[in-house]
Amino acid sequence: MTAVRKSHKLRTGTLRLSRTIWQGIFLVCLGALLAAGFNAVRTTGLAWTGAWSPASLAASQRQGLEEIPLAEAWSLSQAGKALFVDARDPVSFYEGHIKGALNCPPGEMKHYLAEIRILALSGLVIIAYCDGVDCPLSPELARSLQQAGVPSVRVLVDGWGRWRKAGYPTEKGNR
Amino acid sequence: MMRARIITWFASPFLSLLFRWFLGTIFVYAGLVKIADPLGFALALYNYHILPSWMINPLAICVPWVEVIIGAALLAGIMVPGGALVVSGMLAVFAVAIGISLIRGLDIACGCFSTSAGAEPITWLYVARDLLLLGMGVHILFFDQGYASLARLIQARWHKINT
Repeated sequence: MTAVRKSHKLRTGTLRLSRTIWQGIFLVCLGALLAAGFNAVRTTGLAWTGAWSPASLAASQRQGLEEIPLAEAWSLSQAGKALFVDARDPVSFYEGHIKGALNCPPGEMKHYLAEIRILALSGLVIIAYCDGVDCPLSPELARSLQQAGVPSVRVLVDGWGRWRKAGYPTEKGNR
Repeated sequence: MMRARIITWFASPFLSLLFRWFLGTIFVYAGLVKIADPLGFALALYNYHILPSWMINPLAICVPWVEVIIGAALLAGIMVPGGALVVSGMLAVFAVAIGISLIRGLDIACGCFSTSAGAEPITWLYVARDLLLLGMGVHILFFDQGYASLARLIQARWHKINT
């Protein structure tokens, strides 16, 4: 009797374990499938293949773009002649950004293009920035803005980190 | 007597339900933050210097969605054992990755709940937090009895209709 009960217990345990593992595999596959689908349709999707190096990515994207030194960005901002565009994601932007900046991730550019173009034509220098020396978002955004015909676009490399370290004004929340 | 009471309390399916909702919320949130910024997450993965470069993009694409799906499964109570198994596995891998990076002396951002490279650098507290969450995952794996489970609710309705 005990042997039968033991064997039954063992069989139920094995079944339960096997079901758990299959469920896990199913959930992971479902996640991967959704990820692949979403990555294919979104504008900021990543490439599946290819060796990854943020430095090479950022450097190649910065080619042909004009960088702006931090001091110049600050003095332009003081004179009210700069529009900062934050190329990071909305969550990072919400947590903190350069005071007065507009949140414009590269994939969302078309929503803000008209506003940015008018401001640029009125004489403001458009300064794109993101976080980290290797961050490729601001060069990507700056290039897209240039291609859309926005004049005087410049990139503040490692803008968020250097701006914060310099103690210049920042703010939190949406815009 | 006291010991028996502690064991009963610890093995309580209600505690398991609480852990399920807690881990579910955390995983959905962590996944959504990373989905919003795939490049930032790829950079965070790269900074660990553990993975070969060809694996970074596929993982940066897939991991956030797996987190959201698993989190949602735990919240809704669908495929809970499978979800708890994957959550525990992921947390164990995260804890090991952070531990290795700390031993190697890397001063990097976690990439757990924020993709910002300027976020607070990892400490042993992060490993402890992951291990605590891992404990919750294992608890669900062993003690969950399908309370507040959408799958059970549907099953019960189905049964009622058929009878």
